[in-house]
Amino acid sequence: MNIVVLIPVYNEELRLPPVLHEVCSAGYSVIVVDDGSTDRTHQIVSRFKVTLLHHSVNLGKGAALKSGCDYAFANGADAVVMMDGDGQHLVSDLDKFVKVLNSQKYDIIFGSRNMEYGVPLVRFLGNKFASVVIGLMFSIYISDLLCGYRAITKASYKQLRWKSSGYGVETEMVVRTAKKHLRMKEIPVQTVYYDAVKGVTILDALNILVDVMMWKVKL
Amino acid sequence: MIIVLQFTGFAFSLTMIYFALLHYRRHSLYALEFIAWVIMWAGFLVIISFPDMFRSFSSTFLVTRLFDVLVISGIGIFSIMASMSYIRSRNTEKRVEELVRALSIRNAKKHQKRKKEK
Repeated sequence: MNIVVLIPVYNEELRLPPVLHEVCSAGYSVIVVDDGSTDRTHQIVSRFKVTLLHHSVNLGKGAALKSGCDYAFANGADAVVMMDGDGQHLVSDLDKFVKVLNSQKYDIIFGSRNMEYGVPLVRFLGNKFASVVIGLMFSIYISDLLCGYRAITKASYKQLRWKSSGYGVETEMVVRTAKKHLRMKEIPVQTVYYDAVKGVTILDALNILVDVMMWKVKL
Repeated sequence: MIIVLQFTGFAFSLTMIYFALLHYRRHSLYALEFIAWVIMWAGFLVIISFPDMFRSFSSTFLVTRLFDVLVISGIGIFSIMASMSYIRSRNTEKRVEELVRALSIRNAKKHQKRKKEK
């Protein structure tokens, strides 16, 4: 199975190099989507043996993942593992995804952080609340709704192809998984929190909530 | 008090007509759009200048004050405009996203091709 690691990045000149170094050393094919970074991310990525997709303006995580998946699946990938470029996700967890993908029993694999790996309490509670709401609305329970460490197969991407261009992408993927009755699995992953400013804000969460209502009606 | 309000409304309408003309001359507005804006602001001018003409009109809609008619129609017009600009900005956003994504994929393909040729 041809598995590609997809890393969407935005202004990650400091934390991206060690991540890329580690993933490349582990022997994975890597696609980096630079989502309109204004720092030196673009130049830094060019030094590594990776495929670089460059958005000339910042579109959001969902759009970056879509570009990466479109490119990967059009160029021979059978599956894509998505991970963050800020070092939040550990490269050592990649093997877990690859192992489950190679079993070919699942269409989508969700990484799941848990409390013992140092998720801040507020995020943990917000995440759990969202999981319960989505569970009640769409009959699917994912213990960590917003974890970006995920893997999807080419066949499932055709059914999952999301419309969200921002942080709603993770939730939309879960909703579409439920609607299309895809085979899914959760695996525990470790997370290291570096940045309290980046990531999903309360405003993003409200936007996602509005989108969830729309998906309930439209999807 | 009424005269001051009338004068303010009058000046505001004239300013808006001037801006419509300015944007039309700068080719930011089509002729039809320009005419529509001028008709709207000219109508507003007439209502402000001769409010008594419209008193019977407002009572037809069971609204006692002419001012209320203006407020209600203003809210109606701005709601329509807000929803129209929302739809337009969403469409523009989608087009920009599609364009940027397509360009990034095309450039990556070109880059990979060049790498292989080397």
